[in-house]
Amino acid sequence: MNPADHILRPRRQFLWEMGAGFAGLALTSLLDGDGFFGSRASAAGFAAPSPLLPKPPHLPTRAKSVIFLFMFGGPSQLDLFDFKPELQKRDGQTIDNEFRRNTKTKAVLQASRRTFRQHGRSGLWCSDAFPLVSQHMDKLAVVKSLYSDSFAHGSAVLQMNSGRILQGHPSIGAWMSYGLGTLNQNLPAYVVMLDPRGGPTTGAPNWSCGYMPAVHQGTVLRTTGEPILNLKPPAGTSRGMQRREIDFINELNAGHQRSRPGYSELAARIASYELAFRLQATAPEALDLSQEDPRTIEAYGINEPKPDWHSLAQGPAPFGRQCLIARRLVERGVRFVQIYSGGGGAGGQNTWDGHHGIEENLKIHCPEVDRPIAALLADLEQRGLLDETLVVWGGEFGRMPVSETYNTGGKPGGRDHNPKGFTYWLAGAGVKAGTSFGETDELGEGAAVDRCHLRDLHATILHLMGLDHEKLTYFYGGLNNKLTGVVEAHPIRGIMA
Amino acid sequence: MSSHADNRRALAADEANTLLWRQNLRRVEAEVVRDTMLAVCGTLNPKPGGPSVFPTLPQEVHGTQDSSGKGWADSPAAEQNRRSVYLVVKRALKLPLLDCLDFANSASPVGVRPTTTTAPQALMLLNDAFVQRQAAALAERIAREAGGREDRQVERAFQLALQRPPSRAELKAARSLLADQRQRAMVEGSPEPGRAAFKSFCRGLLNVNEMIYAD
Repeated sequence: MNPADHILRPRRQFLWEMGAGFAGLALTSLLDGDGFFGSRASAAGFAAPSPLLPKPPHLPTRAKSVIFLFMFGGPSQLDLFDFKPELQKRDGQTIDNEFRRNTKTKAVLQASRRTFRQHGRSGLWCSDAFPLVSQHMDKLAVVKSLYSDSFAHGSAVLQMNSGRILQGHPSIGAWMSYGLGTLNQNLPAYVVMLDPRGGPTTGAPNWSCGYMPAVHQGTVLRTTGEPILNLKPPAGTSRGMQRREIDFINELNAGHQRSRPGYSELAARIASYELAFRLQATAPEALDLSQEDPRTIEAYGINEPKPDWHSLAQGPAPFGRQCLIARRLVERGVRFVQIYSGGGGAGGQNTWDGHHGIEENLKIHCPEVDRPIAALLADLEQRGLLDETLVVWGGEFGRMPVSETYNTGGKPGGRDHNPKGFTYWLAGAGVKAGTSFGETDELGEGAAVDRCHLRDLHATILHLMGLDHEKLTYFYGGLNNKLTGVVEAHPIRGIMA
Repeated sequence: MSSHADNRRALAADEANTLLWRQNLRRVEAEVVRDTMLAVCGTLNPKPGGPSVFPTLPQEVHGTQDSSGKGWADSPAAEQNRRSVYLVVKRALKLPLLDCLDFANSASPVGVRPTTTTAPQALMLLNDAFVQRQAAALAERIAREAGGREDRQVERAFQLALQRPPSRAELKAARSLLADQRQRAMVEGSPEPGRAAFKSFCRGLLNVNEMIYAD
């Protein structure tokens, strides 16, 4: 789509404008049904679809939704999934470690203090830091050989979300929304839930629509208090009063529209008010956990009290609540849900960024996600949703096999950033369960066997959702942009069923 | 050439206006929506230049940042009603009111801003604290300028917001709204039903299409 089309071709503009945000409208029938058109029926012949109506995928797939569990700060693969016997043996030895691009320093190898075991029929490795997730290894496809381009949180999180280390590009959820639309027009297509401790570095650009229209950007959903900004009428305005007010607004709008025939964006705006009114009911319903079986609530760890051994630890309740809500959202047809574990500024123990002591960091964060994720996988499977949902787990990078040096202000016993080799796992629709793909070198310092750049992971996620990463393009700045960018990318076939 | 052009033959032949028989309807930019509201409600501070304005934002908006509120000191109240061009632009923290109205993607060059029509915009313009303040200010302004008679008040409201008097039908609709809302507010136990009703009317007026679509 040529941006100049916006100016020269107003009809194209209608196509973008036709969506009422979350809602796709079969505009002619919807508005006709509501009696918005008098004798004029100007919208007849304008079958302009909302940009969020479901679109057919390029490729066959059963997947309908993505749940992306983002461990912000960079989870330590060496203490969780990537067992390195050689590292364990050589604990305490000094090596030359590339801790920032082209910058080496002498550093001391730090073996994992966790105990690793093989689990299930697949024999996939998992440490005792995840006692409950490790019971589900047979569901997972673990990729150990990922690498990406930035050592710094800001650009790394952006790259994991949008494929670029710079701001201003659409995030993966926006690409999904753009490529596939969404299944429930009364909820956002793309939902983001943040850690109570704060957002990830760079903030909102991580769920941005970039140069795409605003309908595709992520909606931040709060799981306590008001779920979406401005969802509730202000104090002093009841729902009944608001309903009457909207009727008045649209009464005036109908008059305005009569003297300006043939502009369907006016009709779209009228409809958007109706949908906003409805949304005030549908969004809270999706978040209403009182409908859930108490055993489900328990399983997700939502009843667990906040631990008191550390001021930054919050226990599984917040993330558990978000995972359960994620299940409810995908049940209700939300296309892409992203949940952040860890937040509020990188560098401290409030995120997975274990500079100041990896053992303490794991002790804080693993319990926060272990139980909820295990419950989520079991719950999705039990409800027959796992075949239709793609679950993705990982952070913006991994961590180093050496003890933190003083170069970045951490402490011995900590681990520094490692974008050269890290782990992601996927589960659900189209994923080859119980698989391990790729390897890091014997010390776990960098991807070595079957290396996959982050763009290959993106290509894989798109592929599993039925989108060809080469065909899904958006014209901007003279280029047919792709999530995977201009460098060739390949879906990781080894983890596809 | 106006978009407010009623030519049935042209409409039938070229509804998409490819041949430009009329001007296209134009939705004004996010900044204009905000500035218009301030001007109509009489709260606009016309002071030019000076340091950027940091508006008060809901805590949950700051909460999306990794360092909530860092480097952000709310500007004094009088400053916050200055024109939108003076609002601070922080790449990672777009102002929700402007952002939902298709404010530019401040992280990369934008040749043409897309224009979207979304439910979050409606939620913003119905429920946001900024809009409530403006609606209340408009109600006060009208009471000051038009006195106590309802007809005069409605006329003054239309004159301020839409730069024209209300039609007979519109006057009727407004009076009906005011009556209904007064009744409803009374039933709901509002301490000042008349005031609640008039604020609802003012807010409603700020939400109509004619406010944001320029002919």
